Amino acid sequence: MKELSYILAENLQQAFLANATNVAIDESDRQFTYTDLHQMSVSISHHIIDAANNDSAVAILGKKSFYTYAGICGAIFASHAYMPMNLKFPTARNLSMLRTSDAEVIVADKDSIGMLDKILKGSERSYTVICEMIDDSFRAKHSGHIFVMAGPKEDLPLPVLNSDEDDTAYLLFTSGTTGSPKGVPVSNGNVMSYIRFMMNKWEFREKDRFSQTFDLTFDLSVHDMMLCWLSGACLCIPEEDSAFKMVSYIRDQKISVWFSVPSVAMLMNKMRLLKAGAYDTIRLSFFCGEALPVQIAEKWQESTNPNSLTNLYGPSEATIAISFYQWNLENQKSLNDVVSIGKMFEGQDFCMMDPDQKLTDSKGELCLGGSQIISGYFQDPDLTSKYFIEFNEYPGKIWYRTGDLVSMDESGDLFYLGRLDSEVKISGFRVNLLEIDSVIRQVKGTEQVASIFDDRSPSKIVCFISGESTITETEIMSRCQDHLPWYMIPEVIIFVEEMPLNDNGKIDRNTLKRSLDGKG
Amino acid sequence: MERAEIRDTIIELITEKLVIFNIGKEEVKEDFDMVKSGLLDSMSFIDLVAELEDRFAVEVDFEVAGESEDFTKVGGLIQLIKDTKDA
Repeated sequence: MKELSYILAENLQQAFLANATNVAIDESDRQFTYTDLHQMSVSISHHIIDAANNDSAVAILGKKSFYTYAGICGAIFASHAYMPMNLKFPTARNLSMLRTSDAEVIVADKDSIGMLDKILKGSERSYTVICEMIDDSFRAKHSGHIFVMAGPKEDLPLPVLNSDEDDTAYLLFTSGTTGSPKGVPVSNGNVMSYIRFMMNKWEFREKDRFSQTFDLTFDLSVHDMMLCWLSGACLCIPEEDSAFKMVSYIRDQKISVWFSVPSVAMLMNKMRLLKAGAYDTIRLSFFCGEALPVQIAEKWQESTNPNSLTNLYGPSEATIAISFYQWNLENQKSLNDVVSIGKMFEGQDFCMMDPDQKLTDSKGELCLGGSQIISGYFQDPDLTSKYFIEFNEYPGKIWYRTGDLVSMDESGDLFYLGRLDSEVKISGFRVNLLEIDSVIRQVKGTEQVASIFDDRSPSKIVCFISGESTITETEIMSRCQDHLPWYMIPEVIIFVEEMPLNDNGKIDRNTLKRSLDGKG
Repeated sequence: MERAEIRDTIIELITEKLVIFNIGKEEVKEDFDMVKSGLLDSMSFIDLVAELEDRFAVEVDFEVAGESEDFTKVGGLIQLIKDTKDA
């Protein structure tokens, strides 16, 4: 294959043509070739170009279906970014993402009609909806919006590509501190830097069958889609809500390239499903998104290929992943029973700093630099200047401060030690505890709220509330369910008479956390 | 092994959750799905099954059980524990 450029659309177009008869997407009961995907994507891309007045992102609403993937590729071919929404999110969160992104066009698959109905009801502006299926009553009900049905057409030319390396390829939202999610725009150059490194480092083959365990709102899904399609391989879609059906998914779909958060393997381990040699179709395994326990790495290695496991690390702001550790029979570095996050990808940089923002050598907050680092948060210069910083030692270079505390050993391998702020990882999802507090505080206004993450097994979010306690657990839960994705909803609510305060007069979360110890 | 006994144990183990979600015990029918309803996440659900395994001294075959649409429903879980015990 020709050397990949830094424009995603160009590379996808080439791959689609070169692998025309290969299967691109396997929904287990239906298979779609690269030609199918190409024709549908191009058809959607023309509708996008016709409808869009500005260059904002195209919102994608749907299950992990052929039409949804064609919507993603359609946006890319139309030289727009895509912005995935999530059918499992509350309507309010999808609406907030839609408004913030300034999208004008929504691509909606046939399973998204229920959510689409609620989104359109709640929206102030008029959208063009490119849909897989729509009936007249739905159109009539939402007459302020334009609906077009896009079907595959054989003879449509590819639209003229006019993406730039700096243009956004996808826009994602991640948990923020103020109650509204923050936008992470990842450019063509960012994502192609990632892909070029991965494709040089590992050999992905046309015959490979890639897993797709992530929601599309999670940037790790981009790894699956793009590495798969740029290799001419097949993306295998699991059934909805299939957390307990991973065995049949791996076996029936004959997965050869696996990628998931460690939680998926941890769940399988709890179900006693990580038996020796159980998944011998898996040739390469990647884990990312949260700390990988040594025990899980060992068990996974036994049940797949003993030399196939790679632990990846990276925040969305650094595009999917930026450091890696290859765990095999010879190399098994860990600290506190957590697998090393290894070394930076070639060409990407890191440094560590102390709490006074001075550079340190062996332990500190990890800062990242290089071509995979985004240029800043979406339309938020204040937040950007807080997290994207410079050091006198490296004039002119921008570093993203991750909030992750790491240490480094003599050979330069990094170890993840924990978070330095109120952000935590729950099954790979980034959750800022302050965002939960902010949402709950709005129920009554006066209450003091402090959420903490109880990391003892089974880990959970515990929310402490004090003040005029006229507020009920039910009111709190219902507000959370309306405004927060499922993984951010507290599992335990504890009312306290008074919040413990620290010397600065702030709520002392450590004391709250310690108070749980007595309660088992 | 009586279904009622297993049912009572399940209700006991999810009581705290039911309170938070404001769900009355009588509303928890056989077809109530403990995961799809948002009551439990998948990890907590497997913890619940593990607790039932301990209490009733059974070992569930998760490979088979996980494939069933009824696995996470109260009725399905009762039947699973009962069938495993009676086998």
